[in-house]
Amino acid sequence: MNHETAHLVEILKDLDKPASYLAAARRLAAVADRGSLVPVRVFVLSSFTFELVVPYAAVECARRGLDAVLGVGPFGQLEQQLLAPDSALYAHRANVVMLAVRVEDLVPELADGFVGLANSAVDAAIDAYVERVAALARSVRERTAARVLVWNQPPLRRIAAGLADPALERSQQHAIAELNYRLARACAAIPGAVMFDAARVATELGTRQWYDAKLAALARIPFGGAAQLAVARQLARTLRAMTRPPCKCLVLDLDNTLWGGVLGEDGHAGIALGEDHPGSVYKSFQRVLRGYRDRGVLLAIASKNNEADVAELFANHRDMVLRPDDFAARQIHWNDKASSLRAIAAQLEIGVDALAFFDDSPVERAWVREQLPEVTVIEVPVDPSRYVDALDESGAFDHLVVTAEDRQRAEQYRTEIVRRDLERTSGSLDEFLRALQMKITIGGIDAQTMPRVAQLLGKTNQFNVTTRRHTETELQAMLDAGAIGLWMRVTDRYGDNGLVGVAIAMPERPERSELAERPDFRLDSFVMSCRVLGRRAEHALLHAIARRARQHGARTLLGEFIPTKKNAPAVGFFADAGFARDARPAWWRLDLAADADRALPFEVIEV
Amino acid sequence: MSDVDIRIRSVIAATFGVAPATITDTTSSDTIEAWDSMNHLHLVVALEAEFGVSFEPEQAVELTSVRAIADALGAVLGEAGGTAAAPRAAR
Repeated sequence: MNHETAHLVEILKDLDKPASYLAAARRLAAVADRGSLVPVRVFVLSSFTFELVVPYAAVECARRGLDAVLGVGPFGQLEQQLLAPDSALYAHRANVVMLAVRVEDLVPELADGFVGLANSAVDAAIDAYVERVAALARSVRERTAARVLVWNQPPLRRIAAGLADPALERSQQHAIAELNYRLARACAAIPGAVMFDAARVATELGTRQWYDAKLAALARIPFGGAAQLAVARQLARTLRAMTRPPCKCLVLDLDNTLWGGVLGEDGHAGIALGEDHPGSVYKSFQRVLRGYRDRGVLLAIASKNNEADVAELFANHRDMVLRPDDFAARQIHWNDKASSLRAIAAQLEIGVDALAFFDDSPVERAWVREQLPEVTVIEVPVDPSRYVDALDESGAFDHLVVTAEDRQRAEQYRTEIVRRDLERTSGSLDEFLRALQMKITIGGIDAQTMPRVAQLLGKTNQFNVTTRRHTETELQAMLDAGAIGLWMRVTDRYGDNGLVGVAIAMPERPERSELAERPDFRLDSFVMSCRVLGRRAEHALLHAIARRARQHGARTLLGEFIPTKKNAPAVGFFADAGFARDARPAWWRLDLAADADRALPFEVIEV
Repeated sequence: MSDVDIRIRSVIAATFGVAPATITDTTSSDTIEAWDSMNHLHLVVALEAEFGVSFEPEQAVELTSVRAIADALGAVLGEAGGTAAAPRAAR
C-alpha cells in the first residue's frame, strides 16, 4: 500500500458522529494527491438548502473510491441556473447534475392543502410537478454533457387528513406514490437520467428522523443530521454505480461467514447453520447470496480450511442453501488469501478490481486491502445478522439499470464451464467452434441497443483496443457525425450470450480535399465481452465494419491499440486480422481493397 | 475541565478545523473565522448528536460561544438527569 492510500485509509477510519465526518471532510480536502480516487463533479439544483450534505457526501464518496467535487446552486433557482450561461451550474463543469425538488416547494397544495383538493386538482398538481421536473431534467441533458440524477418525493412530514387518509377515495399517501411512479416513467424516457430514491432513504430512516423542524425553520433545510448522512451515503452509492463498473465476483470466506463456528474445530454437527438461532442468521445470509448469484454476480470461495471437510459439508449438510456449483471458483487451502484472490481472478478471466471480498476476519481484510488495494473489501460487522446490510450497502454490485443480459449472466457462466469441458475434449479449435454451433448476428446501433452498447463500452477491460468509455450521449453524437456503429450478438448450442461486441469507426478527415467524399475510417472502439473470448467472433465483427467502411468508399481502415493493465487479450488482434503496422507507433492499417472474406467456423447474419 | 467541556471543545475543533488547544472559555463565532452561518448549523447538528440532545430553534441560534454552549447543555442535560446522560449513538 503506498503512502497516499495509507493516508486516505487513516482519514476515513473511525467515522461515527457528525463531528468525525466534518473533521474527515476537512482533512480530505487538504490531501494534495487524491489520484487513487476516481474524480466526479456533481452540481445540485434544489428547491431547498442542500449545502449541509456536502461534507458528508465528500467523505462517503471517498470511502467508495470517488473524489467528489460538489457544487450547490442557490436554493429555489432551478430554471434560472439552466438559462443563465454564466451561472454556477455551467462554471462547475459537472459530470452529474442532481435535481432535488420537493413537492412542498413546487406544488404545496399536495402537502398541507390536500384535504380541500378535488380529484382533478390532485391530477393537475401531479401533472405540474412531473412535467416541470422532467422538463428540467431534459434541459440539463440538452444544455450540458452531464447525466442527471432526479430525486423523488419522500413521505410527507404530516398527512393532512390524519387517521382518515388511508380511507379517502383519493389518499394523500397514494397520490405521492403515484407522483413518484409518474416521475420515474417520465425519467425513463430521458436518456442519461437516473432516479435518486430519496423516498427509500427517508423510509429506511423514518419520517421522524428525516425531518428536522428546527433546521427547516432556521434555514429551509428539510432534513436533520441523520438524514444528511443517509442522503450522502445513498448519493455516494449512486455516484459509484454511475462512475465505476460494478464488481463481478463476490469472494466469500466460509467459517463464521457462511456458517457460525469453525468447521475444522467444531465439525459438521457443531457449526451454526439451520432454521433456529443462531444458525438461522447464516442460513438467511446464504439465501441472500443465492439471490446475488441469480442476479448475475459470480460467487467464489477463499477459505483456509481442509478441502475434504468442506466437500463433505456441501454434500451432507441439509441446511446449506448454496451448492458447490453455485461457486464459479474455489480456493480452499492454507495459503494466503491475497494469492487466492489472484488465482480466482485469473481463473474467471476477470480483473482483480472486479472482485469484492467478504470475510469476517479483520486480519484477512486488512491483509487483502494491503496486498490488493484494487479489490473492494467490504467492511463486515461483528454481528452476523447485519451481514446482509453490509453487503447491500457496500454498493459493490449496484447496477443502475438491470438489463436482460444481467439476468442471464449467471446461466451463461455456468454454460461456459460446460463449454470449457467440451474444449478440452475437442480436437482443433475450429472443430470445437463448429461443434459449438455458433450463430453471430451483427447490426447497427439504434435506440434499443444503445444502453447495452454503452454498458459494454463502460465495463469491458480485456478485449478492448482503446478502452474509451463513451456515454450514450457521446455515442449518439458520434453516430450523428457519420460514425459506423455496430453491435454483435452471439448464440450457441448452450444458449444466448447476448450482445457481446461493439465496433465503432469514425470517418477520418482526408488530407486532400478532393477525397472528402470518400473518407477513410478509424476504429474508435472495438470491444468484446470476455464471455466469447477465444472463439474468433471478433473477426466476424471486424469484417462487418470493414465491409461497411468499404461501402462508404473508404480505402483504408485505421486501428489504434492503447495498452492498459488489462487489455493484453486484445494485443495481437490487429496483426491477427490482417492489419499492417502504420508509420505511427500504436497505429495499424487495413487495406480494404485487398481484404478478402475469411472462412469463419460459424454462421454470420447481418441485419 | 469537565468531560462535557472537553467534548464541546472537540466538537468545535472538528467542525471548524481548529486545534483543540486553541479553544478557551472565551472562544466564540467572533474568534473563529470558519464559524459562519452554514458551519454554525453543522455545529448544532454535531452537538446534538454528541450529547444526544435536541435544541429548540431559539437556543440553536444562540450557541455562538463556548460559554453559551456549555450553559445550554448544562440546562438541557440537567433536565435529562445530569451530565452522566449517555449520548445517543450516532448512525
